[in-house]
Amino acid sequence: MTGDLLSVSLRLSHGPAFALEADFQLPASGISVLFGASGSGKTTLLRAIAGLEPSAAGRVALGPRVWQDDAAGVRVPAWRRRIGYVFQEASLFEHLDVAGNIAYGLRWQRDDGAADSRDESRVGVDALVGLLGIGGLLRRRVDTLSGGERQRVAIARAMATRPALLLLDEPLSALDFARRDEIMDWLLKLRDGTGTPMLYVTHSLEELARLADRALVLSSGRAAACDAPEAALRQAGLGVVADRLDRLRQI
Amino acid sequence: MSGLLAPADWAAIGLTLRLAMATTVLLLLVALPLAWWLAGSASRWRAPVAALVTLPLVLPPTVLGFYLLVLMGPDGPLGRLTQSLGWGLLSFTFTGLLIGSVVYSLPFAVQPLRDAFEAAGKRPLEVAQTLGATPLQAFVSVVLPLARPGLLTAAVLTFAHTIGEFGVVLMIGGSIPGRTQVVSTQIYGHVEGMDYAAAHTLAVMLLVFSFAVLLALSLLGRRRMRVLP
Repeated sequence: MTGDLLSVSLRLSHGPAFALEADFQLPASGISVLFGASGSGKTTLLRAIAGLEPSAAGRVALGPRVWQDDAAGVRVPAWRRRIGYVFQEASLFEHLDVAGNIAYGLRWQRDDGAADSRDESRVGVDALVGLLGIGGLLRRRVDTLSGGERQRVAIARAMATRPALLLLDEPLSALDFARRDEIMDWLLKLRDGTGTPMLYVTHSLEELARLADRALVLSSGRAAACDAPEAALRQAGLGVVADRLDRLRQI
Repeated sequence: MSGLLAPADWAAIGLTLRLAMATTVLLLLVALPLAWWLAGSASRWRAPVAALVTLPLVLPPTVLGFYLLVLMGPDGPLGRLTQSLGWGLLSFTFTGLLIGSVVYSLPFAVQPLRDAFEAAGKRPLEVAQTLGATPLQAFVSVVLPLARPGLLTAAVLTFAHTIGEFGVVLMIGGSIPGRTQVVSTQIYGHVEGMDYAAAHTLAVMLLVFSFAVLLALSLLGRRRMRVLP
């Protein structure tokens, strides 16, 4: 595991109705869950970390890599941040088959010296396909896949470029319960099999309970706490939710 | 067949095809960025520009041709520019016709492309960027393939529309045999000269061509709708 920190200090507002303020540091390892109610700004924050929100101002860094530092005039565009991003809907490219989707990012990989020795230990595409159980789907058209299959392909596509950080935005919200359970299993396997740190956005307690190595609670546009999940919820003043999480964990 | 048509008719057909092909290529180059901007921009110029692009759809071709003629003429801004560059005047030349055709068919190329871009949305572009593609690489490798049906519709409509144009051509180009005489103006000439048989031959060709194009477009559209179960 790496000792890197993901440090974020961002301000962003969309008119008077919505303002986001986030200052936190997270160890870049395992699965960090970004938890909060709908409309709390989770997706916006994730997009800002990815470099998809031009109006977000502040600083974002992963270990020694500074992705954004407006005070120093640094802004690395999304396509050079070495991130993987899994959107809420799988958003597969309909004009490519499954293999084409997974390989899509590989053609743009730059050998800019940023690849460090750590990356060598991460798994290649073949292992990824095995880890996510999509070996049998490679020649399929993406519009013939089920919802769960689509999301697994989207995860494989995001992971194929060996990102330094995988961002996931409520990847299970479009799926039924059985599929959600299954994908969570795949995600845990992926975490243990690749060592890629993940930042996972959700408003589901169940996903928080199953996946979180740590939690960051976002309420009304502010990053409230960052600690072990129950403690994070209590610090954010969500004691009731923490109790429910506790009960959920015991089941 | 060659006995049926006079050499001037063949020249008109050749010129028409050349004009339609050149217009299609040039117009797609213009319409692609324009449609992309119209589909995604939040600029306050968007609505006026969209209206301007659509104008040739409702304006009488003679009005459009008239203004283009004035623009390209010896005292028009475009005419002055081309003269100062040593190119002479564009009115009554093939290049002049080409410019007129591009303006005249603009909405036919922009609208299908804009619809296709709007249907695809911004998401594919964002996904591609998170996978390491620059915006231009993402546009070429993802947005264009996804917009292919719209691209095809735009190309076919532009081609067919240019083949059938008359008013703009007559105003800008006149009907100079071998230089600016296209099929539609040739038909007009035949009718004026009371040569109805020759007019018929060319008119039927245009009719059949136009029907075939629209039929092909509609069949193409049906095939697109049939997605695998």
